[in-house]
Amino acid sequence: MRKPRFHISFENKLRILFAIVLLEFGMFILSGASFSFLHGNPFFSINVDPVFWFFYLPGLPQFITENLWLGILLDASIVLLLLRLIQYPFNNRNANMLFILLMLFYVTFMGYHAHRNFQAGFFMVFIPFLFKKESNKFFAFEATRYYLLFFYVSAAILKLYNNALMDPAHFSNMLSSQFTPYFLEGNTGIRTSVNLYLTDQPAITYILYLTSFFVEFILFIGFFTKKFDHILAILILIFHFANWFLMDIAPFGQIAFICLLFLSNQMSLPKPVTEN
Amino acid sequence: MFLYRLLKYSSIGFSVVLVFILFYALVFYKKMDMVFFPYNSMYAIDFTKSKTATAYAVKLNSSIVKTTGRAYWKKDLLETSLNGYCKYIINNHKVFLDDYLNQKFSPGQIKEFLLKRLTADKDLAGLWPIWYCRSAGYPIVENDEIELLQYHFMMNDQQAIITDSLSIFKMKIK
Repeated sequence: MRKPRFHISFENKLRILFAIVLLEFGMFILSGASFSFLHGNPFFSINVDPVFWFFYLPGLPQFITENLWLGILLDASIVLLLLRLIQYPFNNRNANMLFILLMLFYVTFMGYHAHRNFQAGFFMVFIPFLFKKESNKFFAFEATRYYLLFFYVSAAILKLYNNALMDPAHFSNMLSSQFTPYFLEGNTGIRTSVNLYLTDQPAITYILYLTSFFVEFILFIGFFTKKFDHILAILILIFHFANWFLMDIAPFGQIAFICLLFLSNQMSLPKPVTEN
Repeated sequence: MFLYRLLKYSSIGFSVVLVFILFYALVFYKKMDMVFFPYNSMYAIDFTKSKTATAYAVKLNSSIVKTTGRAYWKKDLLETSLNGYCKYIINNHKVFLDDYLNQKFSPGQIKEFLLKRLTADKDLAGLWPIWYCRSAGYPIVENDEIELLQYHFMMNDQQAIITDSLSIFKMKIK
């Protein structure tokens, strides 16, 4: 049977997607923040989050951070599994293991990071690939895509709900706290200069905040059509990189998840057949 | 439309999605947190309503432990966990879950178990500043002194001005 022409291209697209996850996880290792680098850290703080409780109640993150060899083993396993998945992108068993391991890493890292929700996309990106059967995969992709859209649209709705758009000084106030450690250490540069300039320019920051709101809200289009998914993905990526420049919040960990939108055409459900 | 097609295709899949939506709604309604929520409310709430900020720093033998030059995740881990730890110190060695579990559960084995598993061991947590300094690349030896400080900032005329600083914790390595 002849394979469809897009098949190879789709396979390579998946390889690129998983390579992005590898790069994202590589950044955790290279910067010194992966499982093995959390060894010996005696302090964590989590929230009232059932997903976190599920892992912390049996003491899994605590056990991992107490045992260096386990941290190294988990880091190495994730890298090897990602390499294996890049080689065989349709292997759902590797995707299943990576989903669990990276979710465990996310929960561990965030607990010891003492932070609330963050870039969780690096494990959620595997949801469509947990299944072996193609139609299951496509349904899971659809669900994940809707969740991704909802994630950003809900952020826009939160801004509306909290009347954040009514306060022109809102974003310049927010920016005031983003680079304080850099000022304490005297580690200044272009980003800190822009930060100081913007904290004094509420009119400009208000326009930037409105722009970010529209970028988030425009994803609402995605609930009705997949035609613009490429543009939407590019817009969110620009939004995230702007966040890094202006607010020191990098998108690493979320990039591959957003890139799922580039696969929308290939992962479409077959049109329903109507019987005459 | 998607849910309808999913129901036609797989009742199990439909149930899973439905349970997820209901669970999400319940957690949101109960003002709990969830890994699937937009992080930090995506900066929708201005808590200070001013151009002020609070920052924390660690000093090792009176010199600041520098972290902002490190690669992103390391820098972020050291910066944010320091904020979390300093708030824990300021709040009489309690994290948010200490207060939450004490409020929601009456004294007993369940509460003790939850506190033990969901919050850091208080004795071990006292050693966190040592982990922090070592993790930031600063070796710790006997007689070293570690201090945690809180700074208040005011942004004015394109300048970051420190208006106040406070020592919140000190320890000497024995």
